[in-house]
Amino acid sequence: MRRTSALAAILVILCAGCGAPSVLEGKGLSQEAGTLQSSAAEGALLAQDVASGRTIPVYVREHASDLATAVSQSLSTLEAVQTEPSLRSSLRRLTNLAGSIHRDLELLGTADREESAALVRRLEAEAQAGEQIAAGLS
Amino acid sequence: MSFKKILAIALGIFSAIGGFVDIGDLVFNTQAGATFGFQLMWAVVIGVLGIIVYSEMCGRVSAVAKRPVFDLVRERTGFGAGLATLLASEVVNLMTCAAEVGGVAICLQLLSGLPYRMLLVLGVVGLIFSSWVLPFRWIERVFGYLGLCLLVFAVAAIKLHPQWGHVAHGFVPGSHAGGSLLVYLYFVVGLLGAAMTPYEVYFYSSGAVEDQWGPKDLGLNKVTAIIGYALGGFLSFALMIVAAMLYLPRGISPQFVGTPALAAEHTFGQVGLLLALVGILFAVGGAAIETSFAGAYNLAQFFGWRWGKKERPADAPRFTMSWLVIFALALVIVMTGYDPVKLTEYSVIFSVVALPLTYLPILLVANDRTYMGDEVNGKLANVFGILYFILILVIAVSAIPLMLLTHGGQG
Repeated sequence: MRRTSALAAILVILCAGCGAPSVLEGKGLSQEAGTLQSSAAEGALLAQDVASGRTIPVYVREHASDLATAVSQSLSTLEAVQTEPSLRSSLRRLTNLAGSIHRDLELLGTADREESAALVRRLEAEAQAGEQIAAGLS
Repeated sequence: MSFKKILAIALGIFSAIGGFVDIGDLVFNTQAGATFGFQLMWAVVIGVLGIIVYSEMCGRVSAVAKRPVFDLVRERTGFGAGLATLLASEVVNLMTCAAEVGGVAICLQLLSGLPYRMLLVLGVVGLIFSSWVLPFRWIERVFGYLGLCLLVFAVAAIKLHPQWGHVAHGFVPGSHAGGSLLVYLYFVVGLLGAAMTPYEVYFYSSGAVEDQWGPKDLGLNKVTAIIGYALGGFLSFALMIVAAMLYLPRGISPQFVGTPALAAEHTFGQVGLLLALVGILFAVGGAAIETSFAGAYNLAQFFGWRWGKKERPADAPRFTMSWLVIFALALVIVMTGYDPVKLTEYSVIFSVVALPLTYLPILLVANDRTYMGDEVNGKLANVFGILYFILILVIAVSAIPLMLLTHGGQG
């Protein structure tokens, strides 16, 4: 009887946990910020090579797509989590940043040299923004 | 020394250099450089020295006893310990083979833009075809020589003009800057594991038997092990320097097989990118074949089956079936969509755990006069062998806790 009750309690807790959004604290947010910063910086480096005509289109398309996928995973995480009140503005800024990095990396996959020059500046600024948010969280 | 002999040594060294880097080296050296700059160069030196010490022992055992290492493992350590070694090495071989197969498909995708899963199948078919039709020596040569395209990273490392004083400082172990101590230690373990992967010694030892080495080839064994692996180690330094120069200042944390190639592209443009991708493709492809063969060698030698690439497949059916099955299982693992870079990290860390089971029997056999006669380990080989075995024990115990505590080096 006691064993059945314990099992039922565990099931209730698990079921309650299924629907609840997970909570990300400062360290987790800082890690997401680091991922976004790294992806934006790598995208900027790739965009520099596109702008100077030093690359191969298929590599740019595939590698930019890999980076965009990683950012999209971060974006999904950030959209799904909750955090403590003092970190909510950081979470909001990170979510917006993830969205814009994702957009820019998708554009980079098919960008010409002129568009890439603009993307270099945008992605560098986004990398810097990610770094600043991460610094504020640690 | 005849021209033919010099040529044989040179060819052996070239294929050893080109075949040194696998996906584990690529991932760990680039990540270590991007995280800690030049500070972990010393760990590569220790790892390369370790693989030289034990490969030389393996080659000597094969040349003198005319038997590969796993054959002697069971005989020397008994069925139970031998079976434990076999199981551990097969799990690690399979994980490594899967990671390498994934690396091959990613390289092909970066070169062609075709779908990843289709390239996984094509890549495995290509590797099986090469393994089936090419003689043993030509497998080593084709993949080793084309793997030499990775030298583009060595030239890039020079062209990026690092401060060589800072690079030299990285060869001295000491306190670290940037990143936590646990992450630093995780990368030390990873770099040692990537350099001293067990499949390399199994393949080297069985290769010596395939090449029909005898006591007259002991000099060739020494030169190939020392110069081949040492020069191969320079590719690891190059990857680390390039990552330290390009990725560390920008805060880039390499998470993709395509990221190292970006460094070659940024330095040399399209030619650099193509050389890097072709080099990675063949280095990783060669390692995939080595891991599948190493797995088949181990099984065949443990159970006493007929084995060898020199045998016709119909004459060694269980050996042939073994490497085919390893390729098939590796394909199934990566077809699930598991990230090859993550798989690489796990395979390197688990290979570290299996290292003592691989290296202890080698050390024991290389000291046994019954097998080795006058060619037993000398004092120097024993000093290094024992020191390395102690080191291997320490890193084997700490590998998994460090991986868990640092979330795979993420901090």
